[in-house]
Amino acid sequence: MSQGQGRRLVPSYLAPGGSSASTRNSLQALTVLIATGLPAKPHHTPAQQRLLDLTAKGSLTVAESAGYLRLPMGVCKMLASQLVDDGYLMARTPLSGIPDGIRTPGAGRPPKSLLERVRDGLLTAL
Amino acid sequence: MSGEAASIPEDLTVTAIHEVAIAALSATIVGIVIAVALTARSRRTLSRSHAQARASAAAEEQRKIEALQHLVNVRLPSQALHLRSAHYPVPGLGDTSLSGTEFAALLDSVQELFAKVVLEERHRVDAAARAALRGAFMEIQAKSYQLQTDLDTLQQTCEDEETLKNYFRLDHLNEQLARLVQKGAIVAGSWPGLVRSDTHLPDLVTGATSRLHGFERIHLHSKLRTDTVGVVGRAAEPIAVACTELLANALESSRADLSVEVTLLQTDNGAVCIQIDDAGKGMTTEEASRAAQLLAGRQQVLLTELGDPPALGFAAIGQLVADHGFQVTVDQASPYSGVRAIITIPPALVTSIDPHTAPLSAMSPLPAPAPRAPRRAITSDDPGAASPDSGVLPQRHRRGRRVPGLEERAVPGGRPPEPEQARNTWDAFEQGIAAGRAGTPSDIRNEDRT
Repeated sequence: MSQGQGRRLVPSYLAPGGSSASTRNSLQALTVLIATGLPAKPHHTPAQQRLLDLTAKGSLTVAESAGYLRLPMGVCKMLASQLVDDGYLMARTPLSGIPDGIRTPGAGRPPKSLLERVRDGLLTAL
Repeated sequence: MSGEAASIPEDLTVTAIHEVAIAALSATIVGIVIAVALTARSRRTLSRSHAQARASAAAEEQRKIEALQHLVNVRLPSQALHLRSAHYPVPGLGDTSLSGTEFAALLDSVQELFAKVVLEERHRVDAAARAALRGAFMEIQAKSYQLQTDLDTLQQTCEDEETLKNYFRLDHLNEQLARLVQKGAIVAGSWPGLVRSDTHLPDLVTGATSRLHGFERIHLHSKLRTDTVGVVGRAAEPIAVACTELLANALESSRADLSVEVTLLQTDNGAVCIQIDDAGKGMTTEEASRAAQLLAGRQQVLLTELGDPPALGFAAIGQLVADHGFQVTVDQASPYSGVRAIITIPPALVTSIDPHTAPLSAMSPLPAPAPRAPRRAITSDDPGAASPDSGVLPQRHRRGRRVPGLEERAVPGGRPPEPEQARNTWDAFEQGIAAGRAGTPSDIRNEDRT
């Protein structure tokens, strides 16, 4: 996304690649994504690989991922639901909360800068 | 009457006169006869030479008429064909007996004038056609960019997957449209139509792929040593356009199930290269030389020389190369039997961009994993890290299972390491180097050498 820097250069439709298999759209902004441990494959687009990289370090909500990847929320949901369908990610609905066994980056007390970046990501996407 | 009266008394005299008269008369007659005979003779010779002169004049006339016919029927049409296609021969004067004459020079000047007028007129018509195209294309381009902005805004807020896919399809169609129009506008003498700020090279090439139908077949690999390599703003869009056109050629000239491999490389002299390999049929020698001629961007290209439908890609690249000073070559064969196209961006157009303030797009290729190797070795020395025993040889780890110490360092989004951590790392590094230098006896080094 190159807002404020002139015209857009890289469009969002490159993120999910050519695959257009319909996926179940049950993900929400606060759904937590957890890596299943399957490594990224060469056929994954860079955006998918980046999402897998992000979640490999712990778990992240869809909204946070969208912020880190600087992608619109809808696009990030599309990416995540593809990876969930293919078994690379697990999705947990916000109600169940974050299980104890799963580490989040800066577990328990997220640093201020991270919260600011999440806020920025949300503001960009919403 | 008086003559008759006088002739009787002077008989003798009369007779004498008569004789004289007869003699004179006969002499005169002879003279006349001779004169007549002479005149007739001279007239005969005269008329003969006249006839000869007339005949030669007629022959020359005939030759001139034939030369004129040759000019009209052969030389001028050939000249017209020659102006259209330079390898068509132009015959000279048909009759060599006229060469060097004023008439031949006149004929030559007619031919020269003809060629000059045809060329001038062609350039004038071409300039008018280019102006018309330029105007139309630039307006469509502006509208296409408005549509792009609107579609991008819609995508930012869209949550429904089906709707989003529809927006994606429309967005992609619009990008293809914008590319075609932009290419035409550039050949018609326009500028690329938009200004960018300094741009990451991987972003630029990723953006170029997005403008093409079948972009899924393009595999982009980055071999850049850092993630700071950028292209200066003024050359960003021109290089994106050139890259798009070369990628389009690669996609079109190879089968629909073959991939196109794109590699980003740095060279020792500071230049950066975009290398595009396809597995198509390659180009013939004529096509390659024609392409090299267009890509050099040294001469004004006429729309009429670009074929029907006009092949605008190389002509557009040539225009951009001439304006911005990067280089494009297509004269090599790719390792997959197709064409290897290389865009070389000279150091003057390369810049460094801080990836923390202006991060790469999520869709750009991931950087090459090779430069991470030394970092891993350093983290194993981290006091807080659960590093493997010092006696164990270093092992290659899978991407998914990392050393925990490394995980903490590699914060998502590529945040710079904390100052304290950086200090510790450098401490360990320098200690290691010092220990290594102090602990290696000179005799061992010498043994190593021998």
